[in-house]
Amino acid sequence: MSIRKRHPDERKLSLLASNDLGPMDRWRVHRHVIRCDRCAATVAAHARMRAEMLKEPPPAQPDFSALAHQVHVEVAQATVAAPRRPGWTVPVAGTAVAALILIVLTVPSGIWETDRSAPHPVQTTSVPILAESMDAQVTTAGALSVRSFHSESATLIVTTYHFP
Amino acid sequence: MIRSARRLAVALLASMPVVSGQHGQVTVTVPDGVPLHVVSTDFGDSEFEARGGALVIELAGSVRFRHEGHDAVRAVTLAIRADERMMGGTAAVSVPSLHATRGEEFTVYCSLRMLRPLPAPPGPVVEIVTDAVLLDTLVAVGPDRLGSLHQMKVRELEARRDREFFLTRWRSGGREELASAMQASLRRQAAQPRLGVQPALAGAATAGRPGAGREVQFAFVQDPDAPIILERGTALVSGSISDAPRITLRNREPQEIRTFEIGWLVHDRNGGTYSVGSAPVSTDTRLAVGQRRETAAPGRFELFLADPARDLEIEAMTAYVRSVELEDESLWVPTRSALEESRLVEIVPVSTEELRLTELYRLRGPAVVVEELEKLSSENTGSYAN
Repeated sequence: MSIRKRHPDERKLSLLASNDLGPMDRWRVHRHVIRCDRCAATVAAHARMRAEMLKEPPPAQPDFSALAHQVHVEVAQATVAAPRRPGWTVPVAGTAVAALILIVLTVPSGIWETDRSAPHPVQTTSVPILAESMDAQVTTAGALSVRSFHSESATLIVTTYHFP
Repeated sequence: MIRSARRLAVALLASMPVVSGQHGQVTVTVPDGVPLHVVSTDFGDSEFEARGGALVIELAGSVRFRHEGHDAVRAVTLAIRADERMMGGTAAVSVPSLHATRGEEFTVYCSLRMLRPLPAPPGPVVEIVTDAVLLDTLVAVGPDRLGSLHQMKVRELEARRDREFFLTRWRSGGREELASAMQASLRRQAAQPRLGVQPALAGAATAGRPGAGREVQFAFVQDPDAPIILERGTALVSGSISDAPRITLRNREPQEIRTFEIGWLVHDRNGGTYSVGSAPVSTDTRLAVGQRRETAAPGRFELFLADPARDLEIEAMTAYVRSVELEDESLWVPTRSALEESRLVEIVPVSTEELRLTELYRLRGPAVVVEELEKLSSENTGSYAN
């Protein structure tokens, strides 16, 4: 599979660096970036800038009102809430990654990725269904588990994707 | 045009409310013996789209249950099936830390993406079954076909442990101390290095070729109170890809162990340590008194960092005992102090209850957290104890 010739625009590279792209865009842009030194450098620059911003220390003495708490904590962790649907948040502190699955199985337009791990001695094909979340954890059953917070009901939802 | 019309038609079908037993795009079933009644369902926001040879299902909606049993419901797991043979065809949605007493209603929200092959056979596109219900006595009901029960019990035990911790802070130091504990947890969550993980399928051409990958030995974080001793472990690793680890462990309790979870951490060449989750284990997890065995389960996982410009090179691995269920149905999970002393607390994701409470604190403030802590702790039939 060849490297995509068109470079993603800078906005998308910036969003990739902050992990704020949607699943399909993330997959496409990431796929380009791992093969394109120029775009990889741009993403790295954005990531560095973001890391610098995250180094800002939290306010020393928080105000204990609810609003001040919220502001304090959000500054402390530079959380960008990105609810997938109204009422939903994925409580991944410091990131705004929605717990999404990137579907690549059976899409006929060349989405099989056979050279993604080319530098590695063991080569894998891309995953047919990819749980794209930085909060996914492997379970004892070999499934992937992702947690999200439903703010309206104040419940924590654990979604587990099982594989045949 | 055809695709849009098809999508619209399926979406219209899906928008019809479906109740238990009705035929539709999404059906909800409660097996015999499960003390829940489906009051209503609403999957009107779901979308169904034919893409290539598959139907992509954006399942979004909710199921409202009424509890008709005696003991309060603490957790529910719904098994959601589009097609069991396909990647993305089976999922589970679990809700821990519920408190629904007899006659009370509660809602389980679902938001996930699934797949099923086309052409679809007649019948519902998605089938939802109440797979397991955990009561506050830690008794469970339901078929548990997805094997969620142990996890549900562990989450409940961790929830009691962590509520007790925060409640103690509240009672000893009031709002200020509780706020301090909540903020410390939020800062720790923000600082925890995060890792993406996905199952990797072997490429037919090169996977498993001789000499591919290298074997990495495990280090262990031993908890002296854990019912299991970890003895040795290895995993075949190549770059950012790892096979499921093989870990040899031994039961040191005077009774049989029903099941267990082994936590799995990886270290990269840049000094980062990340939680991958649990080491996959074969379905037979029983351990007789004094028995030694090796966990062996198929599985290959690709790990990636949040920063896509950085490659992950797996350098080393560490394992620790995460939970154990004994034959007498008692459960063991590490204490908070054990997690702190071993510094696992800095790497391992916080419990679901700690995550829920800190999100509540972040979004609604400390008063709501206190209310929640008082409500749930007073209702506990048994306190957390190892």
